[in-house]
Amino acid sequence: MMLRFIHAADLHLDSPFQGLAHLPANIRRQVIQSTFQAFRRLVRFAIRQKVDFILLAGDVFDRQRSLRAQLALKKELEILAREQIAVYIVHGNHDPLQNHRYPVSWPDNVHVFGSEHVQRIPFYKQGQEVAAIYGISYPQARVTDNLAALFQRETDVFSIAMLHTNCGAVSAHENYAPCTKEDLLRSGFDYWALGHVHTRRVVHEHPPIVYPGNTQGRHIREQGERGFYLVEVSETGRIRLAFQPASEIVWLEKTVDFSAVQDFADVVSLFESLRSQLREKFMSRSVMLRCIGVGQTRLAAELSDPDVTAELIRDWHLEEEDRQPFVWLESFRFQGKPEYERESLKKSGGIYGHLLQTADRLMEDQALRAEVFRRELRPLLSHERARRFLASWPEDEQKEIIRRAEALLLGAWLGGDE
Amino acid sequence: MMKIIELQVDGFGLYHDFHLGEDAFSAPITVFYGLNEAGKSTLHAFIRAILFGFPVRGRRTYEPLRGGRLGGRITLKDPQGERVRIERHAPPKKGTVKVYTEQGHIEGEAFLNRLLGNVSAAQFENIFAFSHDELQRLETLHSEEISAYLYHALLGTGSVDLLDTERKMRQNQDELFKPRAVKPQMNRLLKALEQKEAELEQIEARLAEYAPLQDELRMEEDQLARLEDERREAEAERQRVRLVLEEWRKVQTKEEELHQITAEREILQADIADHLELLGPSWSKEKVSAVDLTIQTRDALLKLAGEKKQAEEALEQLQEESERALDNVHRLQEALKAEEERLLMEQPQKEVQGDIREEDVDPQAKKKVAKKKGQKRKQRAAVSAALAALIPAVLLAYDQLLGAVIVLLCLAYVTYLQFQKDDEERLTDLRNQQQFAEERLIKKQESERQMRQLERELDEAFKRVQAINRKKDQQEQLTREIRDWWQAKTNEMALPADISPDGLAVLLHTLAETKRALKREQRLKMRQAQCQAAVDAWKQNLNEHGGSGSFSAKDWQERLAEIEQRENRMVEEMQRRATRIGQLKAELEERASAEELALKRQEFEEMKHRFNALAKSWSIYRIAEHLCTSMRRTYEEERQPEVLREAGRWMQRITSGRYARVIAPLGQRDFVLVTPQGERLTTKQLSRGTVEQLYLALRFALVQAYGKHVCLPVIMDDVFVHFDARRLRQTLLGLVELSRSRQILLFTCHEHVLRQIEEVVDDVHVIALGQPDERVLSHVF
Repeated sequence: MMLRFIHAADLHLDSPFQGLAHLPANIRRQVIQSTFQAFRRLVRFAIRQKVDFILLAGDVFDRQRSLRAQLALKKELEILAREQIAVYIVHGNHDPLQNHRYPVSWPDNVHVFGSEHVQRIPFYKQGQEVAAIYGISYPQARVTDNLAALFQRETDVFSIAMLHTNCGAVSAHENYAPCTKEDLLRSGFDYWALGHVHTRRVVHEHPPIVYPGNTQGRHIREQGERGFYLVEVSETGRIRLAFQPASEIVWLEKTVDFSAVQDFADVVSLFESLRSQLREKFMSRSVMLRCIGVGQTRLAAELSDPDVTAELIRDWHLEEEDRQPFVWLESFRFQGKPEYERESLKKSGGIYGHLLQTADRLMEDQALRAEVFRRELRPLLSHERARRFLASWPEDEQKEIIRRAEALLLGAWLGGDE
Repeated sequence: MMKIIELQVDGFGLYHDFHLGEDAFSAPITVFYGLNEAGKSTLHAFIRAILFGFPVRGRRTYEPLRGGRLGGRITLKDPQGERVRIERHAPPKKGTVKVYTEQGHIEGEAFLNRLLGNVSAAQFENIFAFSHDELQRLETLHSEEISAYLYHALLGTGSVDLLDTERKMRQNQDELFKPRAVKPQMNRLLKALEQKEAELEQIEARLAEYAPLQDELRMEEDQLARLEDERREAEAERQRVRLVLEEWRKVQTKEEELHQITAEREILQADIADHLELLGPSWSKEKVSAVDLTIQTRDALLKLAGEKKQAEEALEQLQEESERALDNVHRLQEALKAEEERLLMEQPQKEVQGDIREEDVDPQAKKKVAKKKGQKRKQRAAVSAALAALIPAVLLAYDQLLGAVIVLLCLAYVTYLQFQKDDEERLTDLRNQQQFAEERLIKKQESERQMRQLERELDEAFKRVQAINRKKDQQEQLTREIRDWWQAKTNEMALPADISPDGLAVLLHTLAETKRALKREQRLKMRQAQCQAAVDAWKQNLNEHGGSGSFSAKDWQERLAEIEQRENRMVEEMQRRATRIGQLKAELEERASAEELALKRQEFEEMKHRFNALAKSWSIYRIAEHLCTSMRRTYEEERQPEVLREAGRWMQRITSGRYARVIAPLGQRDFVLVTPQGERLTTKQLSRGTVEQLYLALRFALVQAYGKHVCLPVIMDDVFVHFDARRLRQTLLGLVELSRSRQILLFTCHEHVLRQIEEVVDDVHVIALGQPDERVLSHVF
């Protein structure tokens, strides 16, 4: 084996988790440790596998470089230094070189690429240069230039380029240092170690252009196993990628059919089986679960009731709060249907039909919906203090609100009729 | 058109096994005429119950009074002309419905609902099957309730009260969030969020101090190290100064010692001078120092002096003895001469002249002897006298025995004294004897013997003189030798030769003293010199330490004090800095290891999420409210005008053109009648009859509006009570028109109404309901 290295990115050390209503202290503690824990796994793996070096392709830190994150990283880097494993770091939009609030120095085995120009660092193995690592960091958070254009292969030795970039304009991520796959292929590097896009992705096979994804998911949009790549380069230049999971806590969204549910005892047992199923699957790792309820059920109105869902979630949490590992219910949303025939109800001339027609018009007419939401939610959205903490709602969310308002009214009226 | 064509009551109130066949419903309008308590309202209720279920709560339950199972059946002919039989029986309370279709299917509630166009019981009651009660009640109700009720009636929303729902949704919103409130959940959470945010900022600010704190720590550590060095230097200096001061103190003692020595030496020198003076000019310090004064020497010298003295004394004694012996010769010669003379007298003197020579030779010695003899005599006399005096006293004083002993002792002593007679005394005795002999000379015989005796004695005396003289010569020889030796010795030691042995002793003593003093003085001198040297050396040293200036102990003391102060200051400062370093390290450590920020940040995220979740709930309520409002608006603005237009036409017709339109101003839960002249009259300004006509008109309009979906039969129970004949007629004409599209059932107890109907309506079927069974009624009340 000529070369063996780890490619990771977007550690986002010390990043909080988003979208969790209220965690018990012990789980919260695990949560705030999880990004560190993932990196520790990486370090242990690196030592066990005796890798030559580690590439960290940006966003090592979250938002600002927290002191705790830097010191924890330093500790791990020192361990790697003792094992003589080199670490190459480029910084990205979350941890640019500027905005250094708490300066911390790194051990000698660490090379941090500057932001002035693309730097080339040769890597020697038994006195022989076996690789060259090129890289550039972000000077500040917003980099809108195509940094890929600055990369120029200089020697014949196995060449790796490190860049924090939005390659191919991935919409879920901010379009920093945008470039295209073709830009990268043109430069003639043997391996593109990218960072920024949190979902693992091999953009191109030969030569590899790789997003290893982040090492620890931090919200429901970062689901599934997360980790890093072990990259092995043979004497003949054959490159083998092997994904290694690193996250301690796995985010997951599960759709559960509630059609068979007759009463709340059924709901409880449904949840129980879901928990044990996930526990079995993920073994030593914990799960942050979002549960989506679907199907047609007579409990639809109750399951749509915020108070009822809160109660269900609370029951689940009581079961899990002392568990280790845990299967934590991030949220539960019932998106199924009630037993009544929506269409026939809609066609009836009565008030129910009128309600459903009104709701549907709001669902279908985007301009109307936007106008209604803008106008109706103004007391909240234009509230100087409140709006600072409000997340913007995507369209789906607005539609869900309409559906739930509809279900709420129908539930109230139909229920009141009995 | 949905038409009731058959009705079978099994048991319902006072009805039991009551049947109305198809012929009863053959006309478009069926009138049920009966007096009070004939069962009109019960029949009306039966129809509602079969179609929509038995009333459950708060209503009359119509338990069968005359037997039969509660329930019955109604056969409908649907718009397609198919017959459907609806059977409903209790129990259960609400009843179970079975719908028999012409095809032979048996269906349930859902089928029935669809059949009835999803019209709810409430809608049916409000719009399609109403009694005068419903109209009358409206008048006495509170205005807002009227309007709310009216709207239900008008909008056909049944039990759904849009306004109420809107109010509830608003309440829900307000519990979650109100822009300027404090208590709602979100407002509270908002405040908590802001606080948490501030906390986070605070922590971050505190963490931002990490670098400055680190700098400060480094600075403090440097300062501490510098202080440590300085303190060590100061300590060394202090040691040096202390050493100098110690040296100085030593010099002080040495100088004191020097003073002492000097004083002592001066005293000693004076002593020595005294001694020398005593010794006389012939003695100098040097000479004294040179004298051998060893004990041996001194001893030998003193022994020699003693020997010399002894020898001289012995010589003198011998001289005296010689003289005495010579004297004795002389005396004997004299005595012999005197005897001779006496003999001569008696006999011629035959005394030898030659014997007297001695006395001639030495008259001096003769005198001496005499003198001594006198002395001795005196002594003896004194003793004897003393004793003579003592004895009687003693005898007197003591008893006889003791006295005798004492006397004996005294006598013994005297006797002893007698025997102790020296030569002199012996000589005296001899003389006495001579004298005695001389006296005896007088006597003849005696005299001659005496003379012979004397001559023998003389001879002996001569011999004696010779012997003594020989001895004397020997002694003289010895004395001379000793003197020569002495001479030599004194010369040798430079002593005065004429010194006596006692003088010698004193001299030697003095010399020894002087010599010792000299030696001591010498020693002191040396010590003085040593001290001086040491003092000089130290002073030199001190001056070297103290720089060029001369040494000042005060300066050095001050310097020491100053150093010690400086040291104290430094130690204090070091302690201060060490404490600060401890603090800084703790603070840095705390900042480095703090999970606090991460925990708080996570908590903050959670709170934010909760806030957004609540915001979503709020939005759901908000949108729900909006849906209600917009539905209501639709009713008011779109559907209502259609209904109102229709109601207006109905009013025009009923009132024969007195009123042209009905309007419902938005926001006001009231209706206004407008005359063709544009005059507006609110319900409050209208007569009871006109208001009831208005409500009826509104219902007809709504029935027509619903008619687009479903044409249910319209059932009216004595609703024309307050109508005058003209308007009743007009209304009935309208009904005829209405009956073309829907079946109409009229209940009335008024004969004039019935007559009017029969007069106005051509195709009408009147069913007279029987008189009430008094027995059963009495049971009811």
